[in-house]
Amino acid sequence: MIRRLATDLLLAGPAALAVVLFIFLPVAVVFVLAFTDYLVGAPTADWVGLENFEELFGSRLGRNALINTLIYSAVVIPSSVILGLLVALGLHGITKRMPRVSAVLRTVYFLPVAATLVAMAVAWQMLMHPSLGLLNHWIAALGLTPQQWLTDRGLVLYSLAAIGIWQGVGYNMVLFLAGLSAIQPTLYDAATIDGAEHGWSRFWCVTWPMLGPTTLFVVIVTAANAFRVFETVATMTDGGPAFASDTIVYALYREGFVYFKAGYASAITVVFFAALLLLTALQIALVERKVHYR
Amino acid sequence: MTPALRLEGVTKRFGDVVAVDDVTLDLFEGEFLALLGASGCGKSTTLRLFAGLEAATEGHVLLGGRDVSRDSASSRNVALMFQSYALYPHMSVYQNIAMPLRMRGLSVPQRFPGARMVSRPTRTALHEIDDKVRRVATMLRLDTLLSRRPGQLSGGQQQRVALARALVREPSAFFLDEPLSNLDTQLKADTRDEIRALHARTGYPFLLVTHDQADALSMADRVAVMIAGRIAQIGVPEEVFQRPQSRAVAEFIGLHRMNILDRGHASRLHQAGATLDLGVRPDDLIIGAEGPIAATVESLLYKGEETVVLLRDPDGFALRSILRGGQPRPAPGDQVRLSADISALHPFDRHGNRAELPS
Amino acid sequence: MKRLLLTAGLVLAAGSAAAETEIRVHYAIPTIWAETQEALAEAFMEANPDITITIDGPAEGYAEGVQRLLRESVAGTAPDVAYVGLNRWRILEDRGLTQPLDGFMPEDPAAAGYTPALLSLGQFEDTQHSLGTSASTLVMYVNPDLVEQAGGSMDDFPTTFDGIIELAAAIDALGDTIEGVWIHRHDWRFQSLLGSHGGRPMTADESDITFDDDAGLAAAALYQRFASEGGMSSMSQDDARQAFPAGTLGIMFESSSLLTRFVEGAGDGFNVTVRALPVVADDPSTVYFPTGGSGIVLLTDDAERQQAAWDYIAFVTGPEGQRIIVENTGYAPANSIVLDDEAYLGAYYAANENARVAHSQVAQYAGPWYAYPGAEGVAVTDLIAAALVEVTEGADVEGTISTLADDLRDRLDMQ
Repeated sequence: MIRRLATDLLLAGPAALAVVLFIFLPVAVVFVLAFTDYLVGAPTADWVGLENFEELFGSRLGRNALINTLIYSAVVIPSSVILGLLVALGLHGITKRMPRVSAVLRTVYFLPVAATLVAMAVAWQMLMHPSLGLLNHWIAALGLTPQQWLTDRGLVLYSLAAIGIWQGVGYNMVLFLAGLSAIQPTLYDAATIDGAEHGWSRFWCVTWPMLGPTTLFVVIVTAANAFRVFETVATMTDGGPAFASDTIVYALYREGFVYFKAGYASAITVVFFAALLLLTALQIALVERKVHYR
Repeated sequence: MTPALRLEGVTKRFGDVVAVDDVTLDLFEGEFLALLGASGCGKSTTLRLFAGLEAATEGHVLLGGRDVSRDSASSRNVALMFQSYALYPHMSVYQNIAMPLRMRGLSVPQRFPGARMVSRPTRTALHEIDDKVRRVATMLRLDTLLSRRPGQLSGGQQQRVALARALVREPSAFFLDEPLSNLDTQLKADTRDEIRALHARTGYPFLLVTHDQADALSMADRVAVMIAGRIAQIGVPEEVFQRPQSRAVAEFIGLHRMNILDRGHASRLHQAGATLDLGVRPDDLIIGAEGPIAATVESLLYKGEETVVLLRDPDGFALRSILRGGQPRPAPGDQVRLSADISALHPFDRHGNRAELPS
Repeated sequence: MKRLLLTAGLVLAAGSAAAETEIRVHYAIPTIWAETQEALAEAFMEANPDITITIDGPAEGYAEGVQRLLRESVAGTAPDVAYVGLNRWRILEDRGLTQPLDGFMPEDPAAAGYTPALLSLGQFEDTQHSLGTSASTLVMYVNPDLVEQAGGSMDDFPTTFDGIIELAAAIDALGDTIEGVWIHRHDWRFQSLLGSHGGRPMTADESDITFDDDAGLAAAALYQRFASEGGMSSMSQDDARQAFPAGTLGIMFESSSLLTRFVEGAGDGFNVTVRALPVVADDPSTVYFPTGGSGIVLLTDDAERQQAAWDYIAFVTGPEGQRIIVENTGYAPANSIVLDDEAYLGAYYAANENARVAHSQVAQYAGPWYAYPGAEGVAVTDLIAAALVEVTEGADVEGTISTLADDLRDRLDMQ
């Protein structure tokens, strides 16, 4: 009995210890720092209570980062989910008739997911270059006004959102394709017999409800990705111009690693952590209860 | 009499594969027809051609004498119960049963939630639907389960929901695709009776697709045996069992595979055996002290009501015989004699077609 | 016998300790510095065989470099000396990590090439915390082809901002994809324009913001005029750094340290030409250009190691080390001897006219790149950049700059 206990401890112990040391402990430290004015490298720090949180929600810059993140998410989440679904439906439809084309398109759409976003961001930056970029050349060729995609304060967030969508569509497509192939074909037969014979009614009767769990998962994953948008901001705009593309995770980086305000950055981390936790809780509650049809 | 549904010279190809080969098949008003065949013989495709889930490559589908080959499945108004039940998992039992009525009885805007509040015709239509759903639910003992989801039901209950969904409207024909294959033995027997009773009560033409000859023979008025995409024989169950029209049907039908003695060799049973192959069902091959064929008992399979005896004659042919009840059983290694009544012999010519014994 | 062995051991140990004082060196931006650092370490060790130089893996940029130094100092694994951005050594000083160099300095710093202007790059409150190792100031990069297409001439290239704006407008009018002028909306560039007007961002004791005076408003107004009159677009720094060598940008205000990169980028396309920044102030003695580049700081607090580390610092900031740095990086030197004594870089400048222009501007007007004090010191530079964005987009100059100044006073606890 005791020997077994010892064996169990020996097996589970090191991993548990590592989790405590490298995950729980740092998280705990971050939670404590969030209530201090600690600067990276400073010998001491003072307890400031909720001041950091007031700064995040009360200051112009803090609110700006929060609002930018929400706008970005509001554009990216629905667009990349809907586009991902449409692409998946299209590819699923042609898989039987044109398997080669479908496979090639699948790869093309998935490429942005597989590629490093930082490298892709550099490519996008060249594409969106105001005078040398292809995008403005095409726009000029169409007789439209070239745009400052990444340096126009009113446009930059949407340019980044477009890249976010471009990246999310492929991933969502793969998830939706998996969801689609899991639908029993007899359900479509049943719907046909019951009178749902055409594209739309079949979609509403079978496809959409059967994709429910997939869709919810896709939305949550996309939301989590949108909330933590960082790489494109860091590589392409540095949150600029004039904080127009400053998002919450970039603000976290900026405050903590550029301004060295570890206390404030920890407070942002705590808020961000809480938001993701909420999202995860929502996912568990909804997915488990509602869409698994039990 | 005009058949309710008719396949006329229908062929279905998938690429190079011929799934259904020039089939003509009638489903008459009020009859219970079983389509019996081994898996992959094309029987499911035949059903789908009837139902309108597949379009025929060649030939015609007639509904009450009218060509509906190009018509949609729902306009043929057939009901179909799927092997996997194909219930909508996101809908309650009630919504599942109501689905066919809503899809054909209501327009798209009427199907929106809340439509009942604004329009009187919608209310009336929904009321009718409600009546029908509750009636069929009561008939199939589902009235207490209406608010459940399919995932919360047992297999038998799910099947009754599938039946209810198929029956809730007045279909032109009722198709059952392997309805019993997912059930255990006891439930299977009950459901068999239930489906028979349902057929008697509703009077719709039933088409049962099955690989299980016991189901087909016990439930159907007529049995169509399908082999390799063709209808090999069609007739009442007794006729199919007692007078198989071909060697293939003879070998397929019967719980125990028919013994077939090749011509020449078969002359020991009957002089016609010189030119014809002779089949004799294991049930009809009698073990005794006397008989034209000598054999050695190889092994016995005890199966409760019956015992299968595996035998081998001196030429090396394997034969089998059935012993029932208290009949004395030989032991493996015993030398026995085998005989069969002339009336129990099934003669087949060189092409495998049934021949007559010269009297 | 035993005692003899022990003594021999001690002698050996002492000998090897003296021969192998190891100094760890940190630097950043390997794309510019990797080979230079190797060359410096090699040359130093040849002259000082008793000291070994170990170079830490470099940081990607100065910002990351300071982050790492802060982390390492928390962990107790900081290197002995470090090259840091000239605007960033104050972060280390603020946390008490830098060791004052005054005790090591020669009696007459000027004689060793450390002029007061150069010393000012590493001074705070009369204490020498850092010595410059490489220097750069804001200069104008010009595309002569575009200037001529626009009807201008390199021979009478404008020396006033008015003239430059006029020329920029003419270049900008050449085509849709041609830009006239570009300057980054950024603290250092703003401080440079401010210095050209004789202004300073803060008072000498750093107790108040001063860029909301006339000089500061004029400097900010230049940003607005570049945009409204010169047609300057809101290109990002990366965009502009691609556009200039690609030949689509006429005049670019940029750090002199980018010379090598631009010349290589432009290739045979056009002849990259450097011009000094216009000086606006009537009294040239008030003019200074904040100096970018790197300085070296002493981090170790071990007395023996400090001496060895200082030997290294003295070498790399001395004429021989500076010659290596200038020749390898294109940065301006931070030691006056190499500029005065033709023996060191005479041949280099003869072959690099552009470098001579840039480096003489450094020698003439070098001044500290003011880092704002306190916890918000780095953060406020982003606010300055944001205000410059607003100004270029047409916001009222005086209102924006005075609001910015008040905001900074508030954040930097100056009131």
